[in-house]
Amino acid sequence: MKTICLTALIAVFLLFCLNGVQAQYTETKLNQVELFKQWIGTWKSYNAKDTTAFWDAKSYGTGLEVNLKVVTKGKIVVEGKQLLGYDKRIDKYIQAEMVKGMDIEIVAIWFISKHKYVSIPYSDISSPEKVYIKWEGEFKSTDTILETTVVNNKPVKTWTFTRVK
Amino acid sequence: MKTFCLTTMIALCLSFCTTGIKAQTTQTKLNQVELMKQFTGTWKSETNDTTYIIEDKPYGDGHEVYMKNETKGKIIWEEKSLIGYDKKNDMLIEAMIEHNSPNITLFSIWFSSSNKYEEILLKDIPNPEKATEKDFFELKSPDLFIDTYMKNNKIVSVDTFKRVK
Repeated sequence: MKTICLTALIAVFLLFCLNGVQAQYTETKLNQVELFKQWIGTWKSYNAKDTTAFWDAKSYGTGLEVNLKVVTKGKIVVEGKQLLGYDKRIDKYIQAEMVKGMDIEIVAIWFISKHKYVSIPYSDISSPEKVYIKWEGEFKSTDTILETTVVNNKPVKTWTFTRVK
Repeated sequence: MKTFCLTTMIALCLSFCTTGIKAQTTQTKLNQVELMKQFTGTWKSETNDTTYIIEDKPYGDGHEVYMKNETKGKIIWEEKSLIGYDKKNDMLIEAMIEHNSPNITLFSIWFSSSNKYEEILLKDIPNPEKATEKDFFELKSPDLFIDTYMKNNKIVSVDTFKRVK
């Protein structure tokens, strides 16, 4: 009898804990589709070597259609297109990028808080903690994004994007 | 001495066989990027009241595709996609977003001969034979192709597309 009571008590306790965890998870689950709307617009990043990167995102359905270019001394040195769409299965966005002269690149991007996001190669999606390269970004305001390229867990480059329109 | 001769003979035989196999592989390897260029252009398929239009434009070594489905002159469905080469797998990848769906879909495309390609979901690539959805495209002439869509090994639809331009 004593054993049954103890088992029942543990079961009830576990049930309460589980409900608590579930409620917390539901509350904190981020709406990736809503958060991705922060990207819509034209963004520019300038570095000291006369190089400016432009990133122009328009909404298409709940995804984004992007034109990008990098200009050095008035000449386009990189030109590409991206399509970003939500993948319900993994609750993340997928970005397909075609840069002229290069192969297609597929990455997964997702917000980890209202203003911070992470991006990794899609091929590493099953083990995100083991990635060689990743990108960490933060919306510092509605008009400024800081994005850092991280290689082997070490930051190697940071771009600052400011909204043009 | 006898053993040495036998070993040398086996080694020579294997070497010839390997060279033969390699030469055969090199001869039959298809250039996926070049073959996909055959589908560049505007294509139309008409069935009863419904018209499918595909606009496939070259973009770098890849393609930018717009597809719509019209019934009695009204667009009922449309999608945009990017198709590019994935060197690692010697295949093409298509990333597609629909105007009214929240999800992005990734496909794998590969030519099995100079005028035929197959398309399945990228997630099914580890076991392509088990893919539930398959799309087969066959270029019958430079101005006509047939799209056969199969689900669970049963033909769902067969559409004939003619080149408009």
